[in-house]
Amino acid sequence: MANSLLEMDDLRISFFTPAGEVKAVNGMSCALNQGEVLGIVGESGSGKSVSVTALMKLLVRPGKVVGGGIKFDGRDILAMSSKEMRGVRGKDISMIFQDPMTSLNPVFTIGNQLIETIRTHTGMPKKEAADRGVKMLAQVGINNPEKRMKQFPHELSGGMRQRVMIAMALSCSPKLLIADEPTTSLDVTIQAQILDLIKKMRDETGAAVILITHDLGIVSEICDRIMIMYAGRIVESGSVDDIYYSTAHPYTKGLLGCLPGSSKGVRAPLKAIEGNPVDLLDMPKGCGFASRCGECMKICLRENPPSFPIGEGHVSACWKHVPVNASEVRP
Amino acid sequence: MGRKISEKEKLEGELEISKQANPFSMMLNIHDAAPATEEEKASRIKMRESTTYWQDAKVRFMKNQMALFSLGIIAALAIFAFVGPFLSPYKYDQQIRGSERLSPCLAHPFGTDNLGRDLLVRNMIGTRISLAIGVFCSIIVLVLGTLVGASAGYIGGWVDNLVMRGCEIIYSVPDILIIIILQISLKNFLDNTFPNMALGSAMFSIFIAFAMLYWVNMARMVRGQVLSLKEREYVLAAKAQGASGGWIVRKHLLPNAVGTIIVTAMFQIPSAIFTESFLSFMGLGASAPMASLGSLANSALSGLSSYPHWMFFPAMLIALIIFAFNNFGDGLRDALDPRLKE
Amino acid sequence: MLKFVSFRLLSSLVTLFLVITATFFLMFLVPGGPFLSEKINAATLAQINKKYGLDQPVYVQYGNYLKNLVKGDLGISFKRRGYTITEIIAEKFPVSAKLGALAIICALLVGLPAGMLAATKRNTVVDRIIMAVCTLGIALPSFIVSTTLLYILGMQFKVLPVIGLETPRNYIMPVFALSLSPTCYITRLLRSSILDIQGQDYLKTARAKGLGEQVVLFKHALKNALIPVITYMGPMVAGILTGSLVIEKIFSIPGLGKYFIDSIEGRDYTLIMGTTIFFAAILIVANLIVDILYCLVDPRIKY
Repeated sequence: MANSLLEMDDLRISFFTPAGEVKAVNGMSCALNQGEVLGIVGESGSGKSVSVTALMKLLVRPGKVVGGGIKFDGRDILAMSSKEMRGVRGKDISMIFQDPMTSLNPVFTIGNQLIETIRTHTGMPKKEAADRGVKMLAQVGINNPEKRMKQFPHELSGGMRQRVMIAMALSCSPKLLIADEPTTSLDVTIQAQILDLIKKMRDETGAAVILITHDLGIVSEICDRIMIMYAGRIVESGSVDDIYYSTAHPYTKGLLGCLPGSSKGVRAPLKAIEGNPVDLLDMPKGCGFASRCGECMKICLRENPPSFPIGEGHVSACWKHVPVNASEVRP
Repeated sequence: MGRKISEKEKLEGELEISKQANPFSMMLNIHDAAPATEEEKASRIKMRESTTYWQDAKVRFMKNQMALFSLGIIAALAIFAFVGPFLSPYKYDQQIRGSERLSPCLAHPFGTDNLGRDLLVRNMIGTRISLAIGVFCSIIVLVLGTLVGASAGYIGGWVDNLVMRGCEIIYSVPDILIIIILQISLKNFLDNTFPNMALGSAMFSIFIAFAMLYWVNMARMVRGQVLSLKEREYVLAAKAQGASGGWIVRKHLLPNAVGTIIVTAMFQIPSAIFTESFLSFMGLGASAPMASLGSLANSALSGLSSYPHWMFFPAMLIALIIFAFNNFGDGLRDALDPRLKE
Repeated sequence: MLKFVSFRLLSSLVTLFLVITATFFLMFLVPGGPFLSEKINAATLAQINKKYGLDQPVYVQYGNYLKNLVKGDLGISFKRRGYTITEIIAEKFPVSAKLGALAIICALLVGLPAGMLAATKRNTVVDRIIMAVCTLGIALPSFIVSTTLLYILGMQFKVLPVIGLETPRNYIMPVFALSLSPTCYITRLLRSSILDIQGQDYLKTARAKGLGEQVVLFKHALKNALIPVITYMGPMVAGILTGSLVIEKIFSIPGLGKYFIDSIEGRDYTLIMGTTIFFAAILIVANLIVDILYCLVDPRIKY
């Protein structure tokens, strides 16, 4: 793990709302190697977006990192000044968002926004930056890039705009690309194209990718590793094969059960996970998933399960996976 | 309930807890692996009580101190304007010989004017006119604007086009000019038709003009709301079930737009009061002996250096009225439509 | 763009035509004609009416009025003998225009920075003070502001001249009174629209690109936040125009506004008509400019 690009250690993030402290991320640890594609999967409110927002240091009030650490490329992100951080954003770590319809500024041309990014981090002359911009657009599969540079975002389709966002994010050859639900608001056919593009860009640039999604179906196609989050905690992580074929955590099983066509019978009805997510404002003790879990035990109501290794690089935070022959485990 | 059970659990597991004194070591108890009951699981989920739109709005409004304070001012002004004149020993047009141009004193707290009329009662009457204009105007706006806007938006096509063109024209000419032209042209007609009206023809044409002009904003807004709501699924569903146009507007469209409608009507009150006082100040509103706050300020202008209190009281009252209604409207908007909150 | 401008121009002309027509026929409703109030005998009255073409049927008069209007002739003043309306407007309007332009410039120069300041310092003392002043400034009608200023600065302390527009010092009070409410309005509008935009995804993108707060605010947020302010410019010009009527009266400024009010009291019908049409034309032009500006700032507007 010494040469990992990104390390998060017991990250804790809370939102201080008038109603009280909302614990959005509750002790999240993970590591990401260079060039690796990590999928973070979870439902809304599981803390997946918040954790990467903290990684970009873009959390706004009332959100605040209340514990833990983030190391990127050997540097302590949380200790960086806002000026240092600006040098990292867009240059070393870039990010694309869920809704390409709203994530480009409507009153500036594509070219303007693309050139701006390049010049901020490289200080290139305008002409050169424009050439680079055109090249980036061509690289993400936009035809007639010179013309697109002069167009406004509303003149492009959603898929096109997401391509522009990817071009912009990769224009300064970042070491890490964060894609926060990049395909959620796109048509299914476009979704596949965008995912292919992300994969292709990873192969070409060697950038590591964090792909955030609530859709287990899409991560399997491009991810090396998957982390499942629930109620601000990582409940299971492992390789794609681990998650799909040696599913350990009851929540992950539930998620997989929700995928259409995952059941044996062709006409089997879609399954849903029963119940509601826990109240992050007033988290009960024990496992966050306990109330919806079909295999819930007494201890699950009382103690939060630590992560138990169940295979090579495969861990599950569930009391079911307490090593059978070990009477002592590290919490 | 949930808490109780987990407390009990805790007692049972006391043995384990004592062993947890060493934080890095934890013995696992075989009882812990027993399945939890449904009850235990369910107790962990707390459902917040759902509140209705109006309850929510009321809570939000009551929290807004500025809006509550403004509501208090409005109530006080209403008492001042509608109850005050009955308690006063003078009438608004009563000229008291020998009491001309008095400074504020015990008998005349606001002083008297150059004809010896008590200014307190005249200011009360003026406030009454302002409030009446405001309320009248907002009712007109509410009824006419909603009706026109909803039908234009719902019917669409050339009706919509015609109404919106009309709105545009009315909108692009300043209301003050239209009112002035109306006043001049309607004066004789009104004087002949209603010869003994206390308000005077100028004031009456202000009412007419407001009724004619001020529905525009509301109509535009309601139309916009209707157009955006029209395409929603539940309206489509109602249509599919054979609901009639009027029924859809009443049952589906208006209830959804009601917050915005109330707020728009509310904001019409200060702007109507403002326009009336402005016109009266220019001598185009209430005619003597009737008093409005604007005309009181107007007649104070010539004696400003010697009798500043003539100006002070009506000016204060106008500012207070507009201030209170503006803030009340702001509070109402924040309460009824939190999306619009600044 | 050209198509849009010509379409808007055309619809402006239609609006203006309708305003002219409505004004003409409303004024025609006034019974007795403009000379009835004057103490002259019937024969003279008939003679004068004939001279001004007032004895002809209404449609002929209307046609004549339109014909003259196209030539820029708004008729002659019935009260200020020997002057045409066009001459009077040409004489009086520059005074009002100067005052109005100064007020607009002041409103923008103060309102925009104040709005940005309040937005960036949201929920601080600075923001609260600015917002409190604005709430007050919007609630105070211009005639109250100007009479208060007039009394305190002009009459009690005698630091500023109270009438006319001879020296630059004369401008201080009228311009302040005219621009106070639009300034406050612009401040509030810009503040709330900047705060509104703070939650937009494209600002998140801009920050995620590593842009500095200054660039995010001044480039990405401001251009979007200005759109509602531009929309307000039309009503603002109208407000300043009508505001000038009362301000010119209070400070005895020899502008078109004061002359207009006087002509209402004097029942100078052609002048009332001419000035109304002129004011309406100014506003229509102002709205046209605002619409074009709007298109330049917001590329999403379809033309």
